[in-house]
Amino acid sequence: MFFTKKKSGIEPAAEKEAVDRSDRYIILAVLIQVGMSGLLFLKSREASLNYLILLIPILIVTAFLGTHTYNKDGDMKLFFAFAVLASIGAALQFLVDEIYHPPTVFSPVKYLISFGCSFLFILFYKLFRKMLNHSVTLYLAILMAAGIYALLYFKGVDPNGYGTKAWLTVGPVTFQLTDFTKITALIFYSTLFSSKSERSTWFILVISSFFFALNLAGSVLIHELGSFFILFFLHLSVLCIFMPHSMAKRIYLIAIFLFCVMVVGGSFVLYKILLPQAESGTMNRISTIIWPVVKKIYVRFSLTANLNSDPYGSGYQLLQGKKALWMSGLFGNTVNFSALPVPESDMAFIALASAFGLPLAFFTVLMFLRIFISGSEISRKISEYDPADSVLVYSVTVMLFLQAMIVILGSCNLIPFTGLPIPFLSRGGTYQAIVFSFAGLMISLSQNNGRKYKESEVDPDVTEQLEIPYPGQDQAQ
Amino acid sequence: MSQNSSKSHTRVRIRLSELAACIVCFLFIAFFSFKYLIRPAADSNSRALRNTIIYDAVKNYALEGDIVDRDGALIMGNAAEGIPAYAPAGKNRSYAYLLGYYTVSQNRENKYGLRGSLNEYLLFTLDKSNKGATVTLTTDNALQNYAFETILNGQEGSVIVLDNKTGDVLCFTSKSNIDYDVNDMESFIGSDVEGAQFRRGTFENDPPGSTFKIVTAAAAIEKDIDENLPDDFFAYTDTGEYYAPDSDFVITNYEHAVWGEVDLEKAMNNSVNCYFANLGVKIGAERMNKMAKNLMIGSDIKIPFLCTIHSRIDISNAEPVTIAQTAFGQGNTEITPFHLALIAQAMANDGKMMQPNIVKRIQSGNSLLYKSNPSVLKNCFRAKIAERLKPILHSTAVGYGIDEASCGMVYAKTGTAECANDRIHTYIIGFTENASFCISMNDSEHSSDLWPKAKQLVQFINGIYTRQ
Repeated sequence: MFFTKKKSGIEPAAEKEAVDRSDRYIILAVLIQVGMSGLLFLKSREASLNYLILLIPILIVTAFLGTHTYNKDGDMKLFFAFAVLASIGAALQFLVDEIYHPPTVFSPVKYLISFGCSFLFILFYKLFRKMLNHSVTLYLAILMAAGIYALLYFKGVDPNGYGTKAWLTVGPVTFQLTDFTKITALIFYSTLFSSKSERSTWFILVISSFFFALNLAGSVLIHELGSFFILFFLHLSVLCIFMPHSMAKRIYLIAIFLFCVMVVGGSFVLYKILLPQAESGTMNRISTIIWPVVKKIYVRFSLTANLNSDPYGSGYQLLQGKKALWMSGLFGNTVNFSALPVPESDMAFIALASAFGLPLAFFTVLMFLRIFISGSEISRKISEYDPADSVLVYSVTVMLFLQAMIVILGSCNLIPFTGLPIPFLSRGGTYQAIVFSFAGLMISLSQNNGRKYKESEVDPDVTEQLEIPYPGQDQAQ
Repeated sequence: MSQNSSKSHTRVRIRLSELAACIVCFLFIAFFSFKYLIRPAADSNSRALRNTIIYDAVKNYALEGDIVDRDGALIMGNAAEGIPAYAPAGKNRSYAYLLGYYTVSQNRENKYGLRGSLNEYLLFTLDKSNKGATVTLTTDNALQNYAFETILNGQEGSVIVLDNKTGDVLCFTSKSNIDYDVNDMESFIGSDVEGAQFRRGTFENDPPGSTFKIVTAAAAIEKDIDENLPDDFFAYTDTGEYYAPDSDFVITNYEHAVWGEVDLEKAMNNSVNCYFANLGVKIGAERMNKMAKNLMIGSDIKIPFLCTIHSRIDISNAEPVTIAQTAFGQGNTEITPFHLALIAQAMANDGKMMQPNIVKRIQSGNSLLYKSNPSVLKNCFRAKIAERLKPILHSTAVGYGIDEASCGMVYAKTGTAECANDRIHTYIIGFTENASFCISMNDSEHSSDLWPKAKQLVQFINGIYTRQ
């Protein structure tokens, strides 16, 4: 029965007595999802009709999943954020097709298939997570990442002309394989901090640096720095949060920071050195490999400092975004502005503001913040008994929130722009499947107040007495 | 470090990361709300920047919306691809100062008149065919053209006609010292004639001349009602000269006329300066000031989408000579012709001044974006005052040749103001049962020149209401 809470045997007595009104988040989510159809109707009848068709499965899924999450003591605010963002993203994509006519058309079928994939992922997660406690998984993740980059280097394609070889075509299907490097990163970091293996601080730093360098090299080879950007932040976040205090950790993090500064500074110097060679076509083999990366870094940082430095070239996309933001107002632009490049993906946030107004755009930012807070809280709770799951859920949270914020802030030219999809708002079958899987994973791990797997696998009485070793604990003492 | 301590540190770091995320998100929302929503609404420079950006983005495809009169007849519009909006012959001049223009050049916004303030609707609210919203004015095209061509007839000045019941501006035509054609912006911005670019009627703050005698008379009647004054309060023996107490400044009548025994009606009919100077001093500064303030003299009056009109009066602590001068329309008082039309309207409405509206409706496709509703701007005085003044103003109008037989019941008063640079500004304000008006000539000799013009205008106005 919808919204009827089943008795949960693990609730503390005090919680049992309190009336749980979190079911209202299901109703609120449904209201917003239906409300989006009204808002969409005001903008475009065609888009509204398309959305209404997709709204039926969205409402069914929201009702069933919401009830399930509610009954399982899941995080209803997190569920609300996911449900609302999913519907806003779908509404936006239908409207983008009507206004901007991008090269691809938003496919509700792909959207639902992505959703189905995430269901399968969650179903098999219980088996999958057992892998995280085996040391071999760590090396397997490194091999998988190396394999992905190698495959892309030799077989990768660039169907959209973005200058990266991040896609792989298998028969009629094209998917962005770099998205899977994020999954390998999840597996890697979760296994690294798994409670079943004792690892020294040095081991963690060395192996994670190797993994980090592998991703950097792979990204440079396939000219796909966007995904690496997220992996870079994931690397720093996980080490910063989950590694115990130690001098080695501090030195490492400071070194990474300085390294980044040097990379940016060095790119500017290299750009000036290599520019004459690039213009005259006399670059050697090494220069040919690093030139696109150096140029990309130089251009992105230069544009952030001065958007008008190349208004009709590399700055065009951001300049149009800036115009769209000025036009957005409270209810969206009223001048039929449709000169926004890549509104279906990189510039989805700007497209959202331009279509529905800044308040709705700000609301989505708050929903991403909700995801981060809920995800972090789940991670905190789980960290008490299972570091691997804790790292996993935190990594997923970081990847969703950081990717969203990096692209949003980048598209608003507050930080260097990175051409990545925004979770929930952008289209792209592979990425949508991954985002839904991450969302499902977070909801799943939030169940039973963050004790889903603890209750099912470990006797609570035994857990109380267990002294589970924490990775890096020996060095930190 | 114990395991529990390590876990505790992890939890603290997670909390800190939550705090950092909150700060980033709230800073982002606060900054962008301020930059893109709050500041453009509050600061004109930011709004101009926003409009410049939008204009540059849409100028190649946006078609300016139509502006039509109250009956839907075109005033300016018919924009099509490659063809800018234009005003048909006649309206291109009679509406020129009202419509104005909106352009952006060299990252600067250039705006004037209704097109300048309605750019949000005319250019920045586009329908599916990329055409701006349709703006319906309260004006009547025929009356506007008639007022411009026949009443102004090439002279510098303005004609304002207001509907008594609704406050709608039925006509507001202006002519400055240049020939402004709204279809040719260069005829306006290219002019270097001093003062040419100011809209006559709402810009020039000149003394009201004898039209202010209506205000003095209203104040006197109010005093009489309040204090039940003796019958001789309104009596005065005119010698052709008046000296205010403690002053050797002489006030004379027009052409040094001597009127002998005069009462309020005779004084109003003949515009006897000495009578009103004396009456003003007898009324006192406080009551004069109060009536002027009640009629919103000294207060700003906003005409939505067009402008705000200003006026000035200061007799609170004035010497009797200043009060005397103010009482017959000179002194420190400054007022616009539009405001004088509003004073006439307040008299017509038994003391109620209506909010003036010139934009009736704004519509984009099926969406109604704006609609004006009649509302009282101010209850200026009691109906009894209007009741006693109306017969006096009617006999004054009849004296101007605006007779009942050809024009119906008309109430009017002329005014001649001596302005700076030896310029004479003449007015005639008045009202009928349906409409109030003010004809103003900025550089003329005699207010009596306006009598036949007022008669023609009233007859035309009556024709409009008869057709309805």
